[in-house]
Amino acid sequence: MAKILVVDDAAFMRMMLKNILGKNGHQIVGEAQNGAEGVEKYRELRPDVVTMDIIMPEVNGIEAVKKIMSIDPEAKIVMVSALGQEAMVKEALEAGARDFIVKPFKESKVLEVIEKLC
Amino acid sequence: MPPVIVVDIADVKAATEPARLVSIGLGSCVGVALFDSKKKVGSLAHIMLPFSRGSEPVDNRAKYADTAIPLAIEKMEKLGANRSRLIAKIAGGAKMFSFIPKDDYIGRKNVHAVREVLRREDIRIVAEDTGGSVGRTVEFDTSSGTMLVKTARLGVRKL
Amino acid sequence: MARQLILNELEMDMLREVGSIGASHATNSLAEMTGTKVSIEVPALEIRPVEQLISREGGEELVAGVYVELEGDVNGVIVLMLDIASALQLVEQITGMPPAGEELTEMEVSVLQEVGNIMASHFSNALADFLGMKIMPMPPALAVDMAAALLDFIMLEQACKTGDAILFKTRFIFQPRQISGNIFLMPDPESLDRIVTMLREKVGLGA
Repeated sequence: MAKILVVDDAAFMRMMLKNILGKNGHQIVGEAQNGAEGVEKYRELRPDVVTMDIIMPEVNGIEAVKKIMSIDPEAKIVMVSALGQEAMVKEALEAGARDFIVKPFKESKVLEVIEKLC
Repeated sequence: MPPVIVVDIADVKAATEPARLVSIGLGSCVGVALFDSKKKVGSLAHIMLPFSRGSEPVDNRAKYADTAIPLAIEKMEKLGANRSRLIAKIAGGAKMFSFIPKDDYIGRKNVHAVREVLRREDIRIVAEDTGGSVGRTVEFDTSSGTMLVKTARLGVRKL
Repeated sequence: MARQLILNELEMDMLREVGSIGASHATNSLAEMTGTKVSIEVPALEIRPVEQLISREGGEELVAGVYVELEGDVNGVIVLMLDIASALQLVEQITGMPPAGEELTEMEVSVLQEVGNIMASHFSNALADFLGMKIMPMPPALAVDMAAALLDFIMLEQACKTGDAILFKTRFIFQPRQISGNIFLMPDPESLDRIVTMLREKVGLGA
C-alpha cells in the first residue's frame, strides 16, 4: 500500500487514477494540476510515489521531476503521459523518473508499475 | 424582409437596393459595415488579415483591411454614395480559444488595422462589438443601417 | 514569407503518408480510450489560400474544438473538432455518464481536453519517432462555438503572411454510435520544410 501524489492538469485523468489506485489498496494523499503545484505538494506530503503527467501549464512534468529529484534524490516518480516519443521518454528517465506509462493506459499496467516500485 | 446577400471571407459587397449583407462565423475576421444613410447605400467587408505588403500587386483586395476598406468605399461611390457621409459599424476579431497564452492574435491585429484605416479615411466608427472569445455572425441591413450581431450561445445584439 | 510552398508530387505523397501515420496513431489512441472501433477516411493534405479552406470546412453549426499548439522541430497546431452532439456522446462513451445538459460541465470539458491532448500527443509521437524529431504539444484549450469561427481563428493563426495554410485533415467515425469528427494538423511553412528535408533524406534524395 503506497501513499501516492497524483499530478495531472486534467481533472478527469486525476479522477481516473485516484479511482484505479484507491480501489487497489493505495492511498491518494494529494493531487496537483501543474508541475509547480506538484513540487509544492511533494515538499508538503512526502508521498511514497508520484504519478506525473508531462504536458501541463506553468511548469511541465519533466521540469517538475528535476525539481523534486533535487529536493529528494530518493523520490519515486512515474511518468503518466501520452507523450511517449523516444526523445521524451529518455529525457524523463534521465531527469530521474523511474518508469513511464503511456496514455491511454490499461489499469493493470498502472498497478503493475506502482507495485514494482513499492 | 430585404433579401440576404452572403459576404464570404475575403469579400466585399455593396448594395443600394434594400439588402441584408451577411457574414457568417467571424472568428479572427472582422466585418466592417459602411453606411451612407442619406442615399441608403451600404457595404459589408469580411476582412481576413490586417495589412497587405504594399509593394506587391495584391491578389485579392478584399482580404486585407488596408485594401478592403478603400475597395468598399469605391463600390459605394459607384452606387451614388458620398464618402464624407459614411459611418462604420464593426464586429469580430475574437480570440476563439480564450485560454491560450497569446496576446498578438490575428483578431486583435485585424481590429487595430481596421481602426487605423477607417481613421485614415476619416470614417467614424459609431458602433462596435469586437474582441472577446465568441464567434459572431453579422447581418447588416442596408435600408436601416442596423447591424445585428448573432452568437451561438449569447443571443443577438443590435448595433 | 521567405519561401514559396511548391512541392512536387513525390513530396506531397510522402507528406500524405506521414500525415496518415500520425492520424492513424491518434485515432488508435481514441479507439483505446473508448473501447470501440474507430475508422478513418483517407487523410488529405492541402496547401491553399485560407479563405478556400475555411468556408468549405464549416458554417454556423455548433462544434467543440480542442486546440493543441506544437513546439519543437514542428511548430503549428493540432485540432480535434467534433459537432457538439458527437462531443457529448464521446464523453459518455469514455466516462459512462450521460450528458448533464446543453452546456458542458467542468468535467466534460476536462474529458474533451484530455482526449485532444492524448490524440495530439500520439499524432506527434508518430511523427517525431518516424522523422527523428522532437515535438512538444502544449496544454490543450477547448472552445465551443460556430465551426466557421473556430476554423477562422485556427487557420488564420497558422497561415503565413499571404494567407496560405497547410492542412492535414483526417475524418474519423465510430460506427456503433455515429460519433464523427476531424483531426487537423497545421504545421507552419518552416516546419513543413524540415519535414520534407527529413523525408527526402530517408528515401535517399538530396536536398
